[in-house]
Amino acid sequence: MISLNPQTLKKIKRFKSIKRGYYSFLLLMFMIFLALIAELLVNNKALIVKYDGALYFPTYADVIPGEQFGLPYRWETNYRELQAKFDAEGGDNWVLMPLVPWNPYEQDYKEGSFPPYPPNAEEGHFLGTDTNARDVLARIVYGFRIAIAFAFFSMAICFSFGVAIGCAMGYLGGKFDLFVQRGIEIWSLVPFLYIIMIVSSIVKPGLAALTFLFILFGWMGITWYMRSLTYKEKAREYVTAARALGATDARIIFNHILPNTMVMIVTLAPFFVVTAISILTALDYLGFGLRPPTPSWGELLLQGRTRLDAIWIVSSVVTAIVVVLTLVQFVGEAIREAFDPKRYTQYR
Amino acid sequence: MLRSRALLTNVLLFVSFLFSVNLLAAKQLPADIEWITNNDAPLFANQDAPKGGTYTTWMQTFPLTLRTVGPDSNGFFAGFTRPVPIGLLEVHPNTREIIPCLATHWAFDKDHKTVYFKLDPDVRWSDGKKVTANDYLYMLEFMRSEHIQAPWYNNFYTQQITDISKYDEYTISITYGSEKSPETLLFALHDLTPRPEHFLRDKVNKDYVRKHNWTIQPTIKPYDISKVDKGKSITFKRNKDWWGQNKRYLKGRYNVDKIRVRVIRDREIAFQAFLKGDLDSFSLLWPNFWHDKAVGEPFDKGYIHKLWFFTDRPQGLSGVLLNQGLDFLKNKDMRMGIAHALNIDKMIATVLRGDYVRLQSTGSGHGAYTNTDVKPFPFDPKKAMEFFAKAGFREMGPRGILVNNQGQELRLELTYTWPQHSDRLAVLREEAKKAGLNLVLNLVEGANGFKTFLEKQHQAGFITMNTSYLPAYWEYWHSDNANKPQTNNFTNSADPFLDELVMKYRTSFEKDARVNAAWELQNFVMQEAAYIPTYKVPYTRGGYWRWMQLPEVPGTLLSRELFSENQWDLGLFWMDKDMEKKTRKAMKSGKTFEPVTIVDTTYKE
Repeated sequence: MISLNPQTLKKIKRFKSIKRGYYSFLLLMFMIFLALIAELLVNNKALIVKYDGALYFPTYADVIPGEQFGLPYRWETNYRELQAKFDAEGGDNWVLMPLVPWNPYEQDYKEGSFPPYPPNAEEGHFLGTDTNARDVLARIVYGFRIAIAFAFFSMAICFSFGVAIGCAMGYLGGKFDLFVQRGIEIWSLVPFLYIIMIVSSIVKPGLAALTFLFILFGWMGITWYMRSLTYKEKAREYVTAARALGATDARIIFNHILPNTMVMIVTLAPFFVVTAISILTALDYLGFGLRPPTPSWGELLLQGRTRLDAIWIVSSVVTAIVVVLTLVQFVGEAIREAFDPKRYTQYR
Repeated sequence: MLRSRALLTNVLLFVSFLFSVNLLAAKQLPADIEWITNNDAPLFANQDAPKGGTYTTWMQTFPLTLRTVGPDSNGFFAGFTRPVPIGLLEVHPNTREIIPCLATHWAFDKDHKTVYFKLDPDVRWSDGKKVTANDYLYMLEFMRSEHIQAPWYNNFYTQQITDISKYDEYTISITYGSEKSPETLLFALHDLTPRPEHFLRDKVNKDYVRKHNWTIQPTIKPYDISKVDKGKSITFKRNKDWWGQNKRYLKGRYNVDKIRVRVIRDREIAFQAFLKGDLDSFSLLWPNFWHDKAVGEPFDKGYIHKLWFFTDRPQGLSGVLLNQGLDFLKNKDMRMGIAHALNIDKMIATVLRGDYVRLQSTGSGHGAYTNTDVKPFPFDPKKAMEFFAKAGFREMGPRGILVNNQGQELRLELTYTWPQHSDRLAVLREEAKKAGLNLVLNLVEGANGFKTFLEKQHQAGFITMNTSYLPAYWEYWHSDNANKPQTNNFTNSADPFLDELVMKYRTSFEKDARVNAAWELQNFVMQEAAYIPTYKVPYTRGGYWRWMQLPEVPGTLLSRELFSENQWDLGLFWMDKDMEKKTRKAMKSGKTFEPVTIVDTTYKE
């Protein structure tokens, strides 16, 4: 932030004073931070290995084959077994594992019984496993990361595109406005869900493809708001004044109109995130989402529905969804209230 | 003028009629043919099974038509509209011998193409009319008609069934399109069924497909459709004067009076209906149903029994098929590496709970034709890495995946078509990492996925194919079908020696020579490692309410299912109405019975 104008500072102060929203915001940011460093918390790679006097940090490094630690295989070291081995040997070597020593793809089948296994803190399955013996907590954490990445990334693109088009429509007006509006009207009639279903019944989309599809249909909503706001601002005296002083169109748009329409963008953003997460989850639930075995909340929800007897699956994922969506919603409401123009405009 | 024209037409018609009668009469049976029959095979049904009762089962969607051929007729309900397994002849479900059914005797011509059949004069349509040679002649006409809009049948009944001749009312011959061994001819022709000429003749015109979706045709089956409740259910009623009820191999079969097939949209809901007693039986083929869902009160209290019945039904090609049309998979070391890198045994032991069985060859359950000496390569990451090293992938890359000199990762895309298989393949993916192979799972659902295979757009395909009593090799392994779209040669195999074996199997008339060729071929295919067999399901199993009764040996070597859940099977079961009343009463009063779970291994390999 280079220099915030006093009005914006006032709004931020106001936002901070709305406790529920503010703490939700902090909590959410903390969760996103944790998700970003998930590899250090939920992973089957050790944080630190001390072996024969040397220290190893496998988390973000290249795969270390088992041979390196004196194990009889060339594939990636199983650090949980290594830890058990070192503990049994009782020597100088040790392994420090993350809190949850599983990654979201690993299958932990046990002999003699079949998944889903109930929660078991001793084995590190704090929320149990799913029907494929994968750790539920690991899948929730990595699923959250994917969902939030999907939401933020698609929001960034949709908003830049939508704001640009909406602003141009409002500012330029005339034929441009007329034709682009008609174009958007037609495009917005294409049913997004069906398109995704058709596409994913032909090719299972990856995260990038799914984001692209979502953006393709997600940018239109904001154009309407931006268009009308820009029309309104354009007619204001300060714009006329700027123009009279000889400001270029670009300067007027970027320095005068956009800052004054930011309210709209900031207010809509959290709700966009809620929609994006819900849509991704719903698509995964319906089987039209990400390519398996990508960790995803929707897929867990589907598993939970068919295995209601394994209550830890459905309860974990439902709790996760409810918590995250509620937090985002609280943040959204607080922002809306803080940025409410009624507070600062006085009609006399 | 008009009148004289009509007269002329009549005369012409009459002349042509005489001519055709003459032609028909001219057909003479060869003097030296030897009639064969088989009335000594062991019986497999309970001869004293009582009749009666209504059996209720379910289907996921209501059929789009009741026609047996033409558009939309090849759905789930075809298992009920088509008269399998009752055809010209039947295959003995325990010994695989051919036994009489609609025909009592058969004989072979010297041309290796023609088979003669003596029809059973007792056979009647469900409307009481006799089934005669004309109905078989009409079958050919019907199946060749463009009005039925079934190009596959049109083609089959032109290219493969080239001629049907009538010798008298109850003697016919059928000529096959190419020379075959006697065994192949019988297996190819045994399931042909006549069409009711008297009923269909004036209906088959350009409107046939459109007009007769819900027309109930006379049938030779013991059951006739009695009620169609559109969108809800279809009920079949047993024909009390069925021609077959006292025939040697049909006695004691098809015992229930009515079969009701209800629409239930969801498998879970159907299962709940079964637990309530609304459905009489439920297939428990899937491991999670058998182990996890089919447990609890009605099972513990002995109201519902469980039966796991092992069979040796023919099982087709089932495995991971590598596309040798791609350069990197032309390399045999690469294929050998992959074959050693797929931990299929673990997949079976974990996800499939050890219920399925590793398939050992290109198929199984083909009797003498199954090569019992060949074995798939075992999972062995060390060996796999040795092969990958020979193929150029020597170094372990930063992600734990092997890389070659150009820095390319060892990557194989495995295409599959059914989302339910995801968890099975996830095991293979995780295990393949041990051999330094990045196995990428690519789900392309349903028909589109299969199209990928047909057009050879896959690197590796997770494919399961149907088969019949005799194995088929030409479509899968002959170079005629390699590197072409719309063929089943999914591995793009094109090897002169393999071609030779395929043709030896296809064209020999001696069974021994064919068996030898089949064994050699399976051995060759397995060694080439373009096909990595996965699993077979050598059993049928289900749950059923205790009033459902089965013979002493509850199924047969070739049983598809124990009851008639999805199709007309052998119809060996019957219902005990007294026991049903008692059980329902007991459920109300809380009385319990001994829980029953049977594992029958009579026909386990």
